Amino acid sequence: MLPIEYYLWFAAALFAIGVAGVLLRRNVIIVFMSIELMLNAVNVTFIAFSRQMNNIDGQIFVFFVMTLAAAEVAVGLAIIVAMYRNKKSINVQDMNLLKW
Amino acid sequence: MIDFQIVPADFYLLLPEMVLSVGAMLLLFLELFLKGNKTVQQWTAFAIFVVALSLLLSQESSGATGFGMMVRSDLFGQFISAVVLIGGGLTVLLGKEYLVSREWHRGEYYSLLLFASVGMLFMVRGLDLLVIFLGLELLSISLYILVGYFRDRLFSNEAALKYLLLGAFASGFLLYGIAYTYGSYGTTNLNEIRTMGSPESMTFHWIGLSLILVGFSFKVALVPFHMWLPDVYQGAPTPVTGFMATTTKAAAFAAMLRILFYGFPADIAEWMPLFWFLSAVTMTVGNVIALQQSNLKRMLAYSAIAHAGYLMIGVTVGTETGAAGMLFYLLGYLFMNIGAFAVVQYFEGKDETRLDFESYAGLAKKHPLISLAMTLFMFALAGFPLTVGFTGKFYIFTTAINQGFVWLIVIAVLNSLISVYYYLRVVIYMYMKPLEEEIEFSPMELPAKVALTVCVYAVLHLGVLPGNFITLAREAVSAIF
Repeated sequence: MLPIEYYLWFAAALFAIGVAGVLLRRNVIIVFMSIELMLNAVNVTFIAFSRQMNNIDGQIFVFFVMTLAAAEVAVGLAIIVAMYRNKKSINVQDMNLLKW
Repeated sequence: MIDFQIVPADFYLLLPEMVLSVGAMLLLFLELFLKGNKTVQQWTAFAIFVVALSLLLSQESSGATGFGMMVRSDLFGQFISAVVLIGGGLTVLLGKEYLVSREWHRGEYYSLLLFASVGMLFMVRGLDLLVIFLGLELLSISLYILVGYFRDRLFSNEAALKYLLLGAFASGFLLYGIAYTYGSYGTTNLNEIRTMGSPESMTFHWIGLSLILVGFSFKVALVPFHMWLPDVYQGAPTPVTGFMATTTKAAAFAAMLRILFYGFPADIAEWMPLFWFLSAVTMTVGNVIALQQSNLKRMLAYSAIAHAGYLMIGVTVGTETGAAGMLFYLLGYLFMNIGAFAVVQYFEGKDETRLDFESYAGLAKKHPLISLAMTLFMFALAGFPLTVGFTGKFYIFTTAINQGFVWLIVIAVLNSLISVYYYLRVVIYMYMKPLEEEIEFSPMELPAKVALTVCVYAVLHLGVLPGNFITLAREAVSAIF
């Protein structure tokens, strides 16, 4: 079995890519996908720890995270669709009504 | 690993949550059959909140745990849950007029308020990071929808999208923190973490705790994680803003207190300088930017950030009295802020054009009572004596001074002085400027009047006779130490 560090670094890289995507990308859908990537990095971390410690709790946690991600996507896409209908754009930079 | 057994008594612990969830689904179901007049839904939702609150208060608060230590019924959870449920009830009373005037009065509004409340209750009563996290998400997802409630309005869309993106982003950090905490302790249960004392891996422990703190800092909007808050508060429907500003803050701070003080008591002292810094920066940034706002909702949003800074003092102090001060202040903040937003929503008009200071000019002559109420809320938020804003701040500040945090309190007091300027500006416009244009507001409906009266009364009562409630807050806090 590979040492746990490999999995942790892999997950950390995924998480960092996700964070970078959220901060740098301008298309809402891609920002959203980047958030999903962050959640998947978390899942990898949970499973790695769970395997290492022979403890099932972490894997149960993963199921909850997946369910939650699905719920978030459902609501998120609905909001994006509503936004698109009114604005005909899904670019983050076009969200500029609210500012000081 | 915990022996997971479910006994009937566990369900008794969760009665308030069950009443709220079943009620929320019932309201959605009613929506199918009710046409036209939706007043029934308002009253059903209010009744559900009242029933849940009475069930909650009738429970024993001995610290019994249920569902294999997943939830814990103690006075701390009860106190904050009561704050949440009262806030939910007031929002139900206030929401109808606002929604009816915009032709958006639907059952979903009440249903989502109930779901959000369930989430908050799980957050403050959960003893496992899993339950706290799920509660937080139930709350957040309900709020994303509520913020975007006016789906044909760009403001609402934009606020919802910003809230969703940053909320989900923050959840990612929180979850990653939980994963590392799990890695260092082998469990996500706060009780086990507490009894274990020292982690197996110190590095993982530090990574985990700091990421959890980042996640919560987003949720309670501590600077530098506050960028989403003003936009979201401004774009959301006003009753929802009032609800978010008060109850969510209470629940998020309570969950943070439970995780830090109950789960990781050894770390508080070590993290103190960071809390000190966050607290000082948050209140200063919030107040300074609030000075420049011309939109009242946005001004109140920055004031909410500043208040998060004041509340962080309680965490910085790290003692029982500090946390008790936070609980008391959260209770008071509920009434003063929901009251202030209730007045804002009354005056803002159907097309929401009357949100700047100028449109408050001379309103006191035509609406003496409501203006008086607004004056009281503004005085309370600024922290004038005889209001709960003063007693709450006084209690937190003296505790901090007794523990030797003199400089932090100097900053906090200076901040309170700055804040007087922008709070009193509203009052000055209402009383000292001439009326600019005659505008007829339809008279306030009875439920909203009742809610406003409750807020006024509570602000004064907690300000003049805080004794019992401070004692209660102190007892509540001893449950997590």
